[in-house]
Amino acid sequence: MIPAPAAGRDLSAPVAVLAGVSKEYVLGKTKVRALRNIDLAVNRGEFLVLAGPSGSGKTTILNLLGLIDKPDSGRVIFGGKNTVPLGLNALAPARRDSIGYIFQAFNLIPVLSVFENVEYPLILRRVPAGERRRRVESALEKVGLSHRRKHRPSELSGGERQRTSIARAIVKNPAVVLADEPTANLDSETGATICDLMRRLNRNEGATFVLSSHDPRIIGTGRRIVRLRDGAIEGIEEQGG
Amino acid sequence: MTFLKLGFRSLFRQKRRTAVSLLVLTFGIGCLLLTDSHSRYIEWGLRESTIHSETGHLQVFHRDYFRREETRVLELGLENFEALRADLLRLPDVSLVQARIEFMGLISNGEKSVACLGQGVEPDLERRMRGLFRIGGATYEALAAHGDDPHVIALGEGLAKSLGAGPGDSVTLMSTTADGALNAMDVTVAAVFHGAASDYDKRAVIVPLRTARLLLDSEKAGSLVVTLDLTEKTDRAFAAIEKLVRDKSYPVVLKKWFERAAYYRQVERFYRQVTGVLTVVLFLIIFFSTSNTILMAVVERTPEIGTLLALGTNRRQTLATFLSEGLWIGLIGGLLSAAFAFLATSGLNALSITLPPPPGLADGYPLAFRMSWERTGIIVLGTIAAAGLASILPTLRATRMKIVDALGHI
Repeated sequence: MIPAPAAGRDLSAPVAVLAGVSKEYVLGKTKVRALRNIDLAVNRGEFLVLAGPSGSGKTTILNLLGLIDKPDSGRVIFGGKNTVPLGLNALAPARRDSIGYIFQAFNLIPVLSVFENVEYPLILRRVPAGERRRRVESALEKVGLSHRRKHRPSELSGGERQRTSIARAIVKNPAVVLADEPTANLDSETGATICDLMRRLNRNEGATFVLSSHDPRIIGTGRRIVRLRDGAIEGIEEQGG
Repeated sequence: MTFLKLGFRSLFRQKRRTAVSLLVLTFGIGCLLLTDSHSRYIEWGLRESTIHSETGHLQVFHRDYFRREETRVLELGLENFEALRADLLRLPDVSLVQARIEFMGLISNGEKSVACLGQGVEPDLERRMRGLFRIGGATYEALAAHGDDPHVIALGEGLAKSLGAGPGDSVTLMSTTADGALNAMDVTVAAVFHGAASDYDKRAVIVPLRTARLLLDSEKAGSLVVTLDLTEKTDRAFAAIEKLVRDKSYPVVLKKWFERAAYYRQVERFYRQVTGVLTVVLFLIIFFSTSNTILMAVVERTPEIGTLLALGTNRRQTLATFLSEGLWIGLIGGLLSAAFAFLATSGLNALSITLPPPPGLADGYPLAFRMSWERTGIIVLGTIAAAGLASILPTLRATRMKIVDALGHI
């Protein structure tokens, strides 16, 4: 099992590292090189944005960091261990304990309420009921959705759904929160609000975020911006604050 | 618990599809329960009527009766059977013990002679035996009404018609005696009866035991018929009588009622086969119906499966989610079918419908049901298991998906 990069471990060590990672997809009869020899370390507490046009490899990097896909070559180091030799099912505990996911299409479970959607990752971790309730309420409060806890996703606006998704990602205090185009399905005002929320959580809670986006306003919020083109890193920019 | 809840709530995503699955289950299993309940009624009714009109619960024969053929009538009869009867009547579960003699002979109206199968009985005891299951005993009442007069007879309906004889008419009954001589008695027809089978009616006569003993010139009885207060006590009574026979060295052998009830065994086998075939067919329908429902759910919810796996749900937990959906369908469908069967059997029993007689039988029979909660429970559990099994294959498909492919599935 991959240990969670948590307290008691070297806090200066990166949360996750991609070392010499390449990946190809087959689309019909043609091979598409999604990633070419990528080296990237995600540091604790950072707000990293993967920027680039469609097909540049943003989602593939997030999938590899999220331990839901495997590279063709190179290493994906998570919690100090190379995860490449392990099967995806064997990595389920690492995903469960250490990674929070925010999807472009929200991906909430429609038959569960807002509260239950946020509670779900804690049930997987067998957190006792009392503590679960406390943590879910705290997460909903952080995203400003306490008053919608009993509603089903279909009864929420797009922004509320994404805030539920964020609450579900942060409720387990993961080592890293991965957000794939989190504002793409939202209007610009709601997108900005969601982005502000993630920045606040990063600043106030110390949560590590890795976002992908091709929206310049979102990209501009990143403290470190990794620019991608055709599966390769074009450049890395550091920003203050 | 969460996976059970997820499975249950998922039933309401596609309400129409779930409703169709549940309807198939409810009517399918409901009809199976109806068939089973009707078979149970037929078996129970036939069992009790066979016991209380023919076989009793146990029969006692001479110990060589089943080892070799008699060369003369009553050669292997029971001698001094009254002592044995008295001992049997002292046993706690025994209600009645009556003697019988079976014989063959000829019956004549003076112009026409017909071969007959005779039974010598103790009319009052036979009437009481039938009364224990509320079977009419008019024939035996008519014979008993003549008291000790041995010159009476009851004729099967077909035989009476063949001889042109009715109550009050005189006929001659002939047979060979235990010594091999020919003997004849003039008897008066006291009653005409009709049995369950019309072929039997054309040959059957019933006379008092005393008449048979006079005709056959023997003091023996062919057999003793033991009737208990409850059929369920048959095995216990069998063991008690065996012990009695062993302790007192009676030269007899015991038979349980079903060993002497070939017709009952045939009917029971027939109904079990019918129910068995129906069970297999209906469970296949349930299997494919549930399997289809779950397969559709898996295909439709592929991105959700990807989400669950990305959140850290392992393959076993994903399997549990979809498996629980199938189990819920089985449980709800099973309970609905039990309720449907209960209401239908109660309603049909209250209507007291009589079905026409099957070929070869003289009387119709009631369309009645006897629901067994134990068997209903087994069938409901079987339904849940079948629905669960049906969910496994499509669910395995869900758990084998690549996460990124599932997330990107449209």
